[in-house]
Amino acid sequence: MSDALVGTLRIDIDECQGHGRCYALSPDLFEPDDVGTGRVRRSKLRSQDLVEAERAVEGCPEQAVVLELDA
Amino acid sequence: MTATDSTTAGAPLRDQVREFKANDPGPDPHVLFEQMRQECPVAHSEELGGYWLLSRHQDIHQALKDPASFSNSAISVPEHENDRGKLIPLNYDPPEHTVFRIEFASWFSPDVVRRTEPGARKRIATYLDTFVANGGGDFIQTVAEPFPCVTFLLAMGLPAEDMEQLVEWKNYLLRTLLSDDIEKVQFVIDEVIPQIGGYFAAAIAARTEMADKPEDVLTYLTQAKRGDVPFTLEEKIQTLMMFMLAGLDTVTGTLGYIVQFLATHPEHRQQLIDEPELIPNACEELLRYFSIISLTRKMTKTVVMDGVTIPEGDLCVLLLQSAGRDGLQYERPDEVDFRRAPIRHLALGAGPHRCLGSHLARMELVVAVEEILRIMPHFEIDSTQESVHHWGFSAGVDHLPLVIK
Repeated sequence: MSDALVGTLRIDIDECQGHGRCYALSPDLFEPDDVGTGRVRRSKLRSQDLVEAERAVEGCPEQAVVLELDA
Repeated sequence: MTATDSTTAGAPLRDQVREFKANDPGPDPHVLFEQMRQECPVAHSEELGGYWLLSRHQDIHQALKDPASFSNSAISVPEHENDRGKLIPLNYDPPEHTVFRIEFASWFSPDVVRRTEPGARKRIATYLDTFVANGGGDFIQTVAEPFPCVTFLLAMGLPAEDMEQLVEWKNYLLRTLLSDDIEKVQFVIDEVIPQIGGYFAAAIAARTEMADKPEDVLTYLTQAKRGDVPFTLEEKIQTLMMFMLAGLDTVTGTLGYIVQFLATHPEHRQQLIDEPELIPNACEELLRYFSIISLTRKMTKTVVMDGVTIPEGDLCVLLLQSAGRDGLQYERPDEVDFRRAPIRHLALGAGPHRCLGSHLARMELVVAVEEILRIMPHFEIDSTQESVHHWGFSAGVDHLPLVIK
């Protein structure tokens, strides 16, 4: 049950400016590319990922991390 | 009666704002910033030729994200003529700016910074050992200035022994050039800037001729391209000029405030000694609380913000220093809480001009706090000596006398 997918995580590349907060705050879900821009490691989230995902959503200075919960 | 009250209450604030000098705002402008955020978030000062002031986080972020309206073609009040060349990349707007940033992106990447970290950790330990052996002293002179400045110069590929000269030049550009003293400003333009340009031109020439080039910024710069076109010598100099201003001031300034805070808040210090894993978030919290920079933009469009019209052609100062304490953005904004989350501060800027060296700056601050608390966990301000700090576009602590406990 806890393995069910509950949402999708992505970075809005039009807003992202490469602060790198997403992979600092939520290293299981994000990683830097070779110049330090964040990218999603795992876009399909399970319920146990949500706390870490929300940490990145709330901590991004550009509000570029988007979490879409499945209806 | 309410109207009378608000008029009398509002008048001093209006006068204070009208007379506000962003280059020299007095000893502690945070009281004024708070009033501005609440009562006149888009304010106008008549000093320094006249300019607008934004004090709220959200307004400042909107401006930083909108270079088509808030342009970097002017980056100071009063506006200086660009007869000495534009700083690269700060003085450019997209899309030209984007071309420069793409070229520079890998130079200060997290990978590059990770390789720098062990050396930085050893370096600050050496400075701290000296500081402890001396029984304390001026923390800025012994640690907070040399640590980030030497780390930066080595990353650049410039000789560490030139630090004092480069810091002196940096202070001329960041402080004297932005002061009201016309004679001194002219001296900087006529004498100092050509000297700095000559120094960088020589460093570039020496590196260009070097057979086995080391992996550092100076080498990258000799090979740098603007799109497909190699940088001109002038572009290389203007890049180094910019990097010098960015790398030799901000970490020293921030670290001074952080150590001053830890010296005067033993319970916060103890928390980090007991839970060192909190140090990265503590540095974010202190960057929020002690944001040291304010930025200038030039309006290339007329913008209406909070009901106030900011006309095209005017200058606008973005008080990042105020944004970190905005009660609309943070609960308990005046309290330092090392467990605070989220922290979405603008101390390192935002939008396309986000601090290029932010990964390096963050590493330096975290390593510094970790090593300070390991090597000299308990210290306080030496009350027999004077602590000195300065405000302005780039605030910082100039003297921080400490005693080791």
